[in-house]
Amino acid sequence: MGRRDLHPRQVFVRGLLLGAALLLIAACADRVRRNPLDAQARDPVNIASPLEALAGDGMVRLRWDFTEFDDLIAVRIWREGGEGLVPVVFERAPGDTGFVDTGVVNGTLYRYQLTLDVKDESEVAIAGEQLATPGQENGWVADAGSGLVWRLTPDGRRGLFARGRFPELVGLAVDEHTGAAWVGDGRLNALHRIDTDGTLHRFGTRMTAGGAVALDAIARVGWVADAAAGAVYGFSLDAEGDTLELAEVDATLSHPIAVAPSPKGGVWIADVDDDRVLWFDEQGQRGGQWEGLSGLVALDASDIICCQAWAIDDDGLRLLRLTPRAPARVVPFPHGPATAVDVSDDTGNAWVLGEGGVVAYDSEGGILFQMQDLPGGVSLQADEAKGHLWVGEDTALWKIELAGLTYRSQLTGFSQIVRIIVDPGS
Amino acid sequence: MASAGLAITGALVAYWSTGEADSAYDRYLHAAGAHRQQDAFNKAERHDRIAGAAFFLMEAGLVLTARFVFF
Repeated sequence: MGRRDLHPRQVFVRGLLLGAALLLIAACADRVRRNPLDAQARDPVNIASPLEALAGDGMVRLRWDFTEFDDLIAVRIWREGGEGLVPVVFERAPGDTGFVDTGVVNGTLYRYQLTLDVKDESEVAIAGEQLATPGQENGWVADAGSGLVWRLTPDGRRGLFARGRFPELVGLAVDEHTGAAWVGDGRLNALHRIDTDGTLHRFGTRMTAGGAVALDAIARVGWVADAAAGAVYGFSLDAEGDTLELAEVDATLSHPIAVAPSPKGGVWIADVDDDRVLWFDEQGQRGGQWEGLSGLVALDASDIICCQAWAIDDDGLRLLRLTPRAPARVVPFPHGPATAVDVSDDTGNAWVLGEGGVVAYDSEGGILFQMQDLPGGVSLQADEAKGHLWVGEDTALWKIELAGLTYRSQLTGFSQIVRIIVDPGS
Repeated sequence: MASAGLAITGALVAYWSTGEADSAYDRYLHAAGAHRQQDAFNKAERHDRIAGAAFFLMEAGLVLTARFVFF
């Protein structure tokens, strides 16, 4: 039977079958285009963090990874900032994944950007400019929510590493001689030291549980409060091995919540259940005691300048200046309630953080400096030598430049910051 | 014989074209340049279609061969 003899219905059915076959063939091409949300299929333009810039002391460490692309000729890093208006360009091989920029000056803000030199095509600019300010200082953050202790870059923009997990972070202090951080945890009877390279050392002790920690880097002695047992112990910062010898302070305490160093190996203790602050001199003798301080919140003192401590009591409503052989002196604090106090070791100036701002006092209680409209913080540390103030909220860290009162950087992503400390560097 | 040849040829072409499509798609995933990406992706789709047509011919050849052999 010839084509002309076909019934129109047969022609229609055959055409329909042919069309279906062609559609079936077209549907065989089911390749998926690259999706920025697909971890298996990365497009260089859509990579979320193509470049990482970690500031250090006199250098910026840069990291990237484009080794999966096989049509690159070079990776170019553009640096702006510092002296000169013309950007500096570093050209690296496609297989390189890192570079240390040592041609930087501490305290200067630099901007880094990437471009890719692609075979047979024009240069591709990669989004995601990175900022870095090298410096000598390093911040440490105790994040109780995650149980991690973070060491930060000098500019406070990134975390270098985190160690943990600690079940109930309470105390954190830095040894300015070595840069290591000491950690006290409310559920562990061990003290931990985290070195600057990230090595975690565990020291077994006879404590019931750890608590607030204070260090005197000059006298090479540390203090840890064992709130559960009502004791404060001294220990050597140069201890080796896996067990720490503790020397108990000769006092009957109820619930010590804060300790602070006093020059040449003395110590200040805030005992919240007994509503008092005690001072022990370098001989271990009780040199002073202030009673009736209900609702103690915080305490700090200089380990260089003798002998004065600053305390916050009445649940943050009173700021006190404590000196031996004198009653507690109330210092007006305009941004209360106060939440944290930091006494500068070198100058004895006290930096007090409240819900409405920060005030710096000289050693006589005179106001040196005020800053309002700060986010309510839980911890602060002043780095007077470099002119920075580090303030920690629950979930974010702010680094503030005191000259000009500008917010220099912000680092978010924490869950519950309980303590910030800064190693000012050499 | 012709129908069996059609089935074998279809299978060989489909096998070759699938390999070419996979190779082109792999190049697409590892290309940083936009033009190179587009070219590789288009080639992968083209070879997928060729492979689809070849599979269709192969199956038609198998059906015809079965018809001539068994009926």
